[in-house]
Amino acid sequence: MAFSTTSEDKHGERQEDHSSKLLEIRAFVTKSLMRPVADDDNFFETGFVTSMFGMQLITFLEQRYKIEVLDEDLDLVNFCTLNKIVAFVDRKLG
Amino acid sequence: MEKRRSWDTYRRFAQEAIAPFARASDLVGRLDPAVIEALRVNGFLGCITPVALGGLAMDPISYGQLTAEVGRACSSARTLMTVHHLVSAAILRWATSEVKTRLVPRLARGEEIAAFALSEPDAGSDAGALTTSIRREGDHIFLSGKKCWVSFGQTASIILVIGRAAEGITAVLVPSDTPGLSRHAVTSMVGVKAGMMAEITLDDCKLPATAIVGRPGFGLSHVATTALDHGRYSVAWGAVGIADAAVYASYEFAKNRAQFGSLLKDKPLMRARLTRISVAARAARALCMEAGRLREAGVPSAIVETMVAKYAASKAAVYAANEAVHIHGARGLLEEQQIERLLRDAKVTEIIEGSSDILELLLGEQNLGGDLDDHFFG
Repeated sequence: MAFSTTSEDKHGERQEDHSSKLLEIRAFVTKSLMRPVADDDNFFETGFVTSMFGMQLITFLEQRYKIEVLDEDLDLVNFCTLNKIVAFVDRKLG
Repeated sequence: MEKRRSWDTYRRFAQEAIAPFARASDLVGRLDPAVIEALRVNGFLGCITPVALGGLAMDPISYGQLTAEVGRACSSARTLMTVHHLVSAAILRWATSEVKTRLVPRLARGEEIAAFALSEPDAGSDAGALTTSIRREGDHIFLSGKKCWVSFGQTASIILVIGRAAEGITAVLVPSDTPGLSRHAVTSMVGVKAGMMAEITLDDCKLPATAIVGRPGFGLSHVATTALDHGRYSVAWGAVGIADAAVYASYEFAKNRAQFGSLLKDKPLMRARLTRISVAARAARALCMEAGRLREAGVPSAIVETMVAKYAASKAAVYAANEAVHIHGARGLLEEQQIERLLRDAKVTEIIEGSSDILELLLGEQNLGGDLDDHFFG
């Protein structure tokens, strides 16, 4: 078995990890909002967010990535676009 | 089954400690203190609270079973559990560690009774139209406004108030003895008459800014939604309890009442009625069990499934209670028989925590815009 040891390999792993998270989160958000969203679309400004979406998103992120969203994390800047959500999850995962 | 107490245990508790007080509580419009004490000493005001904070940490299905049995005995007692626990749920989810450590054990022990103040005279289903203001000045906030339909608002010691701050809708924990807070008892409700409902007026109530739960601007989308989600689950099971009460009473009556030379249970039309209400009650319970299973799994779809359960169970409760009145004939209209109380209490479940109309809109949007396979198969 070959192990990744170079920084290029690790960068590749991070890119793949980022891509897979983006894919999963995009799938969830698209399904929840019932419309496609681009990676940097602020979906809270689209008018399509339902009253349930905020809690459903948090429940999804907590269950899928085994993180805990705390009250201090409640900031739209963490959740308003797909890329920002991925960045938030990455920070929580350390 | 160590994790889950049997249904019989909860039924025995409710029939022994709550049912004997239900009629009198309904008549006087006040929940007998003995009921509140019974809930308290058995830990049933801390059902969802972690053991580390003095609660029972009940799983969702056990909590639902208990709620159904309490609701079967007395909807007003069940309402106390609903509002107390939905506030606890919001605090557990969104409050700071300091608030949780200070307040949650007291809520679990029943040393504090919580109520939820969201609706206003011009903001019911349209909760986003609320106008209660939250003004920030340094380290303090000032609340002004009027809240209505606050169950147990007459006696709660701590009230979760949803208001509007500069950042948006915000949730605040307000002790009921805060200067400027006044309460007006609502005594003319037709159903859940012992729910001790109140109108709450806040007149420039001063509180530390640390009384905010969650972050400013997230009071509706996250804090109130957490509370309402729990409330819907509790109301759904409470409606199952009402339906059960209607079914059991109707079967008992039909087995003992004779007309035209035979018992009601032997008459085809009566059998049809009994079948319809018993199946409706069973279907409601099945949907509540599914919602409980998904809540235990912690999946996002649990929020929608809880809406489905509440929608179906509240309609089943009204249907079963209405039929029960009819099955009992004139006796069904007699206060002493306590059948008509089931119908009055059942109707409340169709209106509170998201009316059936609102749920039809939300669920319709979900199903029309999404994949119907999700609706049927989760």
